[in-house]
Amino acid sequence: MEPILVVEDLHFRYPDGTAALRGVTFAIQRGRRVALMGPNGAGKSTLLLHLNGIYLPQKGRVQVGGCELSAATEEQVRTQVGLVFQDPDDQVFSPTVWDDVCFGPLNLGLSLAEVEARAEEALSAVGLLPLRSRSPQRLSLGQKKRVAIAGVLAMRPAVMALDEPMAFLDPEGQRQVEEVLDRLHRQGVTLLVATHDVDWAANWADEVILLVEGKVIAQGSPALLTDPDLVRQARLRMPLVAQLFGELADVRPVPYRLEQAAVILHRLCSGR
Amino acid sequence: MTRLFTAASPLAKVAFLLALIVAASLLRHWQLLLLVIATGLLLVRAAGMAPGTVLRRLLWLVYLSGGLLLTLPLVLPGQPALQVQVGSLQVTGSWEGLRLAGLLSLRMLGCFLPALSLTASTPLPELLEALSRLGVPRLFTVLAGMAIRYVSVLQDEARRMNISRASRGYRPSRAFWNRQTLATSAQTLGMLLLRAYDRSERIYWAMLSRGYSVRRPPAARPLSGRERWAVAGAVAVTVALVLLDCRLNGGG
Repeated sequence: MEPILVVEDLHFRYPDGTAALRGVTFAIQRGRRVALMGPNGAGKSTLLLHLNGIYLPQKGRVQVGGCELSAATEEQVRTQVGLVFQDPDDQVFSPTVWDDVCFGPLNLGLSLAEVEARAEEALSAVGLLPLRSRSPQRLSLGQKKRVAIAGVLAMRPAVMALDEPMAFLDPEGQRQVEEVLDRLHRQGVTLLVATHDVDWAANWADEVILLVEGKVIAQGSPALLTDPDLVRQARLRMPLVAQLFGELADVRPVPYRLEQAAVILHRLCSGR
Repeated sequence: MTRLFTAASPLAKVAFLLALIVAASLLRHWQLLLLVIATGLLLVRAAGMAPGTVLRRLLWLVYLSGGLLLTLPLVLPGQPALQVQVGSLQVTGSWEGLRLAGLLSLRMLGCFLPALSLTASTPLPELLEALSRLGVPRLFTVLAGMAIRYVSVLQDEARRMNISRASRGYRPSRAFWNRQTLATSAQTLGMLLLRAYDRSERIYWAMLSRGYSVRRPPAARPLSGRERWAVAGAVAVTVALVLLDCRLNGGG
């Protein structure tokens, strides 16, 4: 199957000379849940801005659904990749929740009826339809994040890239955002989430990409997060489950998800 | 009346109140201005504003009118109304200056009261939408909406900075010219400006990422038949008041 997202040898340098990306290469299959992980300053946010065409490749290429990103195709690419920013106050700028969710579809030049249908569907998907007339400044951070997701969802992108969607959220807010992500996954949307949260990524993702100093050092199953050398190199830490079971020499492979740990514990307790 | 006023269509309300504001800024006859002001007071009452709140908002107008009453009689030549001897200098205030200051103050009040009733009775999104549909450029209404949306974000940022400074023992001096207080205030303002600049860039990226293009401003909903009549009525009110004013002033 042809990947929906292909990044090849992508380089990007900021005007002050900082090299943010130094030959990033990876591919993502349609419908996958991918966690993009790495330390602060690894280039995660810069990479996400490329996927949406905000930045154009200085060297290398980005291909979305078979369409190569360039100045001529950036608007087309934006309709395929939705980008949810880390701080929802950067994204949710309209006077009401409804206006903000309508913003993207209006830019697509759709009819008013279609715009309203999409906005209603997107707000229902994130569970915020009853708050449609609210002003964004009256919402909690978790609600604002869900409005930001709805604003992108209303454009019906094939890929959604989210920058630290769980940052600063309380457990209830995190659960609500995770529910939205799970629903999108079931609908077949490809999800790419930049995060530092190794425990969350290990439990949620189908695949992880480790980015360090503007280069991908590994891509594969979340089991990568149980490799001590790789984790050290990526300046992350192992998931708590893996840390705990890593101490038990006879448990191999080391589990990284709660359900895997539960199976092992059950087995150990029943003496099998 | 309150129920009728708050339930009225935002577009009709904006059109009529704008008509009153335009008329108030053009009228020269004080009786007509008093009529507009009386209407404004009724509207403010109908908007459900507490008298204390209205008076507090009017305080700015008192300062402005005071400034006009103090300066215009001194700079406009005409029949002397009062003369004050300051040392060897004789200061004369003219009736013409006083009259003009009074007229401008009445006009300001005539504009201010309908505007106050409008903002008190109409939620901001509806107000901006109505302005946009009345032909105010979309760019202006979008910018106004964004400015109001982000004032609270900036206020929050300033509050967090103040708390963080206070937590490290900073106490602003009561003396305005205190060097450290001035430097800290200037740094705070500078930092707020830089953060606002950075944020504005991120907001623009977020807009671009959702397909925003200056070339394609979204069109405002067209006016319905009833709304067209409301706008025509509002224009008629302005024209009638201005014509009456010309007649009362001898056609001049």
